[in-house]
Amino acid sequence: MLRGVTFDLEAAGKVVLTGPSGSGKSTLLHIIGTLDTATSGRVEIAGQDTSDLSGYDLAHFRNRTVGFVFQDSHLLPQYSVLENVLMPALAFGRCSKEEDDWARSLVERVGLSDRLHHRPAELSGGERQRVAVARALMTRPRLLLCDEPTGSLDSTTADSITTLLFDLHRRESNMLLVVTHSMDLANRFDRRMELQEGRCLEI
Amino acid sequence: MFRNLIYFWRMNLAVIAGVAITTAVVTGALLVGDSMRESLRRLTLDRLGNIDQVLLNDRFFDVALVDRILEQPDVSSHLETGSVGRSILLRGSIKNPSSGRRASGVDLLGVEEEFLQLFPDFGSTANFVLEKQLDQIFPSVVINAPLQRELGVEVGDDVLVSFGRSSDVPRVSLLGRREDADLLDTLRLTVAGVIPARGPGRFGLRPQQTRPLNAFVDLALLQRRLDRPDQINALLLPVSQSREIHAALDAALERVLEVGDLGLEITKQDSYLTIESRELVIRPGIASAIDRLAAEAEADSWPVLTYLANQIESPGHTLPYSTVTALSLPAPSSLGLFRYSDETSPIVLTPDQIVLNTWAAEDLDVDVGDEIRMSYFLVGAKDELVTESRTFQVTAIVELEGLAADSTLTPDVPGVTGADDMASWDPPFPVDLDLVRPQDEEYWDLYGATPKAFVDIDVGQELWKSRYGQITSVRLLPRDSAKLDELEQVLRRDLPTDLSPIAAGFSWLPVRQQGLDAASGTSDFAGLFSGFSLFLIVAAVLLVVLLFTLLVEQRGREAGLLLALGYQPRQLQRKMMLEGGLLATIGAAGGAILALFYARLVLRGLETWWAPVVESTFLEIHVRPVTILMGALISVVLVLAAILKAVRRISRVPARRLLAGEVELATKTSGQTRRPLIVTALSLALALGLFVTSITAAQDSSPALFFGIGAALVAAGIAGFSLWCRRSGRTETRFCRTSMLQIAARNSARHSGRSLLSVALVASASFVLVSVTANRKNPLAGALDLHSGIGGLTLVAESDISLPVQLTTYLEQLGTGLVADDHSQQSPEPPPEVLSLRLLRGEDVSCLNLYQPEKPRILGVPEDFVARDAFRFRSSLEEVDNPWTLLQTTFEDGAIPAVGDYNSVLWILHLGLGKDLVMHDDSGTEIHLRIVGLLDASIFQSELLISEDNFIEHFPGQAGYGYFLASPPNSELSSSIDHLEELLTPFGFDAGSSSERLASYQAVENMYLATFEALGGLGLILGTLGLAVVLLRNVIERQGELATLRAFGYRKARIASMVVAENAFLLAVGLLIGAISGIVAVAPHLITGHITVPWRSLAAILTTVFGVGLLASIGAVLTSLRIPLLPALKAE
Repeated sequence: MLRGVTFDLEAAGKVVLTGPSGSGKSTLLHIIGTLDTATSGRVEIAGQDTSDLSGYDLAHFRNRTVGFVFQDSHLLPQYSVLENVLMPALAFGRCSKEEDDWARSLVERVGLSDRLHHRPAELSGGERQRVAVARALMTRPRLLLCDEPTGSLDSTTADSITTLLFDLHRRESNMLLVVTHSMDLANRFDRRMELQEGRCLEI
Repeated sequence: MFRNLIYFWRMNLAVIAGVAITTAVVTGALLVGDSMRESLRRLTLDRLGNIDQVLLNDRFFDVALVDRILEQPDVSSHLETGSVGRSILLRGSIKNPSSGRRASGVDLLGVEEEFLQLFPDFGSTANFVLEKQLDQIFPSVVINAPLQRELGVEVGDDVLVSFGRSSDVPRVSLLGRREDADLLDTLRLTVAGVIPARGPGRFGLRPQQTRPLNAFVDLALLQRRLDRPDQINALLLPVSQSREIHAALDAALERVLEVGDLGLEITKQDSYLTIESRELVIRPGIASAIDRLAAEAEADSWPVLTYLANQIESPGHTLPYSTVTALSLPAPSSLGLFRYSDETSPIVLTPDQIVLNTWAAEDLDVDVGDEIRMSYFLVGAKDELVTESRTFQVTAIVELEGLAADSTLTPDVPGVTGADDMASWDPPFPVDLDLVRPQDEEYWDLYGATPKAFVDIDVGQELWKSRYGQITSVRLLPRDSAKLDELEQVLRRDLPTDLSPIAAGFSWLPVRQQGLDAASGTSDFAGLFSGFSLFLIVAAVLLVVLLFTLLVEQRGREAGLLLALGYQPRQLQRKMMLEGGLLATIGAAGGAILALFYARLVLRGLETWWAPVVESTFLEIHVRPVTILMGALISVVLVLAAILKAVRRISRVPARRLLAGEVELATKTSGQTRRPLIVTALSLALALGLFVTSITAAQDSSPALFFGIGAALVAAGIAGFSLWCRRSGRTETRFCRTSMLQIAARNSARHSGRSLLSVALVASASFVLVSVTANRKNPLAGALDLHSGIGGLTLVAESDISLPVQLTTYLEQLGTGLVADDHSQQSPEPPPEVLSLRLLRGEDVSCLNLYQPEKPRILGVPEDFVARDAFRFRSSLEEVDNPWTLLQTTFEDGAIPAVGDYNSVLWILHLGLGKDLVMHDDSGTEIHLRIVGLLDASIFQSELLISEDNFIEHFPGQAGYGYFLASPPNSELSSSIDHLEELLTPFGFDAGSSSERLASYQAVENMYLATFEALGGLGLILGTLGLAVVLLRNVIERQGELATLRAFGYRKARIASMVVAENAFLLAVGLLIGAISGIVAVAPHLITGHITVPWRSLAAILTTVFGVGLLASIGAVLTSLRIPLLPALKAE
């Protein structure tokens, strides 16, 4: 599906990846995020060749280096906003007070400090996606990968989520890679790439 | 609808399987009940053949009476065949002289060849040969197969048959013969045939499922041996329409009964009639009837009591062995002259006055005004003869003529009155014939047993009355002497009818009807096994609810779509109920088939488990279509009711939520949120109330209280868990410090309904397991303790023929002890206790008898038994230090206090403390046995116990002792058993270990517990299955979430351990709720010391259950590990 895709993303850089349905956008995103593996080639993030990783190291790398925001927020309904945000920090055991404080500040940053102990069922779609964004940033990842983050939101909410993403990206100085077929979202990026017939073209 | 069934085939199949299990369990329990009843019914019909009614009498009666009965048109018209069973039924024992093998408890039946015609289905009669064959030295005996196995004999072998001899004279009276030779007889017989244990080979009057040991001999042979020519003690009648015929038979018996059949003899003198009894004493009931009839016929009755004085002494003189008559003076002149030697006017005797005849006065050298001392035998409390004496003042001396010379005042005593001289007396009581002087012989030659002294009748009765009566004869004098013949006719005609046949010892036993009634069983086995299966049924229904709920939830979007398309919630409910109904019907049909296997399995299990203690090989499955239909219907109704709840719940969820894939109502109403709190509080309050009641109420916590406490606590636990689920996560906690188990707990709260059902399943089943384990009893625990189930008495024995005296006395007479080489005299240890109890043979009221008993075995316990204050009481009518003393309570209404074992009284007799068992005593009078104490797991589970005094008063016909307890040390137990059985073989002595007897009772109880446990275990399996389904479903539903966690770096192992932890949490909650409920429910028994919880095995069971339960998460874990990451992240 993907053939000869090559691109670099500088630290604190952001890029949007577009393309028609089935062009392999999500696949590329998942390969970059180590959720999938390429049949050939390599992905290097912050100097680490991810194809060399497996098992614990891969999980640890993903936990510490990559953050995900999916089209669906995939929040755990039985946990509160704060707990959902803290969830990545618990992947390797209990978390620290600092992490707890960080989670609270993230919730504040996404504008949900008054919803700290609410459950997902009590939030709107946009609010859930904000929580998902906060959760993605919990472990301060170097790379934030977003797969159609506004795909299931109305345009106003989508716009506010985009603004939030950009704002947090600026604050955290991480790499931001967003996959979308929404031109509204794509047009807000300085750098845009498109996948066509398995190849990645910088537009 | 069918497309839906096919599309969701996996879940539908699971629901069908759940319904099938429910149906199989419900229907199977009903089938077990049916099969038990029908098996017992067939057994009854088999053992009775055509016999419907049996005429019995403790005493023998003439065959002529039978002929008179059969001549009655209302009897003959009901006879099914021409054959009737004229029989002698005895209890005895048989010994194989070659091997020494013995069998006690043998039913020895003296029958005619036509006895077999009462069993038309029996078939071959070739082996039933009662006549002595030419090649035989000894007469024939035909035995049944069980007896053959017991003795190890073959046809042609000789056996020694021992049985009790009957006596018209009561054994326990001065004139009753009590030597072994008088009590027992032994015949050497040749085994001429062996018949199988069916039909006549199973014949027995008592409804009991055990195979009797039957031995048949020729009726004539037994009659000759018993000196009872033309007499029998049982008439077996094959009649139809048994309920109607019973009254006709009673009436016929009353019509044909003659004075002679009552054991009475009427002798006509010149001016009066004399009535005497073959028993030598006239029973009070008969005496009253005679008085009444005499008064109606305008005749005076003049009672006579003649007794034997061992000695009459005056200073320097002793007169041995003289008869003394108690009578009413002045005597009517028509009885003969009563002329005083000094021409004294007729006198009325005062209590301390005596009249001597001239011969005695001269021999004693006394005159009017002198004192004499009379000594005589009395029967003591232990049936022993004791010598008493009394001083009288001679008030007159009577000439030896007329009435004073009437030798018929003394009844005809076999071995005495017929003797030519006193030296050749063969009396039933001990005499020292050396005391007899020549002048005594001279008097005997001249006057025979003519009384030498006379006292007032009231005094005589006070001194010499026995438990059988207080007159030896009565003389009836018509006021108009011309009416003597008329008086005789009146008496001969009216006396038998005036007395009820029961008073005369006769009773018609409707054996077939009684047997069929008793075949309903001691317990409602359908109810029992439904009860045993209750938790399994609950588990199966909960599983169906769980599965159907999952099915409905799985189709939540579909439901939402239908609602969005305009379907009404009711239409939706109807549609789902129709599908549910179809699933339930299919499942019920499959379950009905499974029920047959289930019932067969239970019956085979009963056969196997009962085999060592309860005869149960007769159990066969009997299938009634209506039972199958009923079982299927019950389970369909149960399942549909459960499904309706699930359907109604989902149909209340708004369409938009259903379309969004949500199946729960958004928010709970305040009432719904408070409901678990209310349920928890109420259940806890109920449990507490029941707990306090259980401890305080008469120290006796019934099973209802036990289950009440358990059920309330399980309900409280589940409601509490529900409350926790709803509040979980609401309180702010340090999430960062959350452990894996806490995360798992929170996860389980996500679908609280599912988790709740899983917990309920596990809690219910573990409650059963814990409570059953805690209730298991070890019969040997504290066995030697005075307050154990065997009361510190290691040996228990019974004899088919009662010993005439206490066992210790009997052994002393034989110069032996409990063991052959008794060193107890030299031993520093106290000698073993030996207790002899009186026994009224009746039906076994223990759990070993599957039939419903009507006339229980009764034990009469002596005072030394009461004084021991042994065994453990579960409860008593009054709180006293020694509950046995309650047996001596006198109730205003005349009820007789009785003690029974808790299990027998509650489960077999269906009585309780203060409740009465109604039965008849020897005189046919209705008596009420009132339960004043309940023993806890004792060896007295087959009988009720009353005081010896009450026993003697109400069952005087049961002479001697038939039940024995002793405390030989364990090291000598075996040798004691062998020694006593060998020594007392002719009495049919059967001894054994008390612990083993107790163990046999408890084996049945433990079998019930094991069944309960097994079915509880099956319930736990269903619970685990439910848990597995819930976990699997949860994992499948949470694929996206779990995939997201993996995207954030959660390893597969961590996610798998989250799933396992969730399972462990639910399992632990269920187990804890069940275990705590079970332990608290048995706590009242623990406090009162009725049980000892085997903590180790309990812990082992719970650990095993937990371990096995964890396996339930395997499917969910594997699924969680195989979640395809990318599709799961893409799809909602």
